[in-house]
Amino acid sequence: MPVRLIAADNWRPSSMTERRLLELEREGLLRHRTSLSSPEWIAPAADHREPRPPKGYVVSFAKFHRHGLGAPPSRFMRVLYQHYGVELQHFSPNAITVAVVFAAVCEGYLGMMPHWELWLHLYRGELFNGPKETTGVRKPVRAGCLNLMLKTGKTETPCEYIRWDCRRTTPDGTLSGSICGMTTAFFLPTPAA
Amino acid sequence: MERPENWTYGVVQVHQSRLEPLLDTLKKLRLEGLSAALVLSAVHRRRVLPLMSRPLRMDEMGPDVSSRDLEACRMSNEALADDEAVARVRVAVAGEFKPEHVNGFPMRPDAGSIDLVRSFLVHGSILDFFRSLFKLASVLAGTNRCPVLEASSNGGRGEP
Repeated sequence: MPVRLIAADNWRPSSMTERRLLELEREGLLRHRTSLSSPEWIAPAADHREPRPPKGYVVSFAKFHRHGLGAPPSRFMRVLYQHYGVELQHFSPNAITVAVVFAAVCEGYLGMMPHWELWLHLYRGELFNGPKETTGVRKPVRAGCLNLMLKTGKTETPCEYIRWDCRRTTPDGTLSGSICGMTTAFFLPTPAA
Repeated sequence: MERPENWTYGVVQVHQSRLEPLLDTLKKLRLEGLSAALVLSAVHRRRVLPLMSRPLRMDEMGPDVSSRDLEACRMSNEALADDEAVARVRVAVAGEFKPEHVNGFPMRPDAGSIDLVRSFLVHGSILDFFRSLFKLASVLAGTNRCPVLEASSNGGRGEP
């Protein structure tokens, strides 16, 4: 059955304030702000209904950092941006966790930098469209549309690699953009190419 | 709005054999009990964010490196309480994860980290061990290459 796409939900105002971002900093999930001219993070203006990052900054979400994202991004993370042709806001929180675990296994257990060919062999990207009540109707999501998941081809046995239980919050087992935490948007410097 | 083709790219067939030793090693790590939750707890315990640019790989964060480099890798010098590490793991992965599981699978070079050589000897034959060790050494010798260059040298694409 062909799928019909309808308009995406609007952005919602972010509730992230300087105080909440400083809490993330204290928890060790954000870098300390050291520069006034090019700060390591910026809180959004309270009266903006949608994120308007200043020039040289991109949108991030507090949830990403609770799932293990760090800034500035590693080379592996920058390759993920480049390969999938997306910005940070397009990753789902589960995709961030998948990339975190892969990088940690490569470095901490295999003793090497994240191996790009191994990544391509094990994982694929999936586009997430939000479900509507009507069958065959989906809506694009503004954030969190890229899921990264183990390949499950006939000849592949992904469970042989690392036991993995993603947080499941929708019937099809993915995390939608709407719960990616749109209301926790703030800004990070654009990663260097 | 469709998934772009390159989101499913794999590795070109001629290069797939190069991955065998890595896949074998991953299987052995799984046999030893490694899970995503244990990986995350080890990451949080070390106060490192794996997707952040750092001067050292995680396996290089030993006692012999400069404290300046170590500080640049860690988000804090304070140890994270087990309860807090558990809470952070539960945010990211489903399933039961308890405080006693924290540090259940230490990373290199921490005490108690898995000895892959011993694991090979337990789960395979001596011949398999040396064959895998040789292949693994060949792969690791090439892993300091920049992944960006690896991706762009083959156009970032392989077989879907």
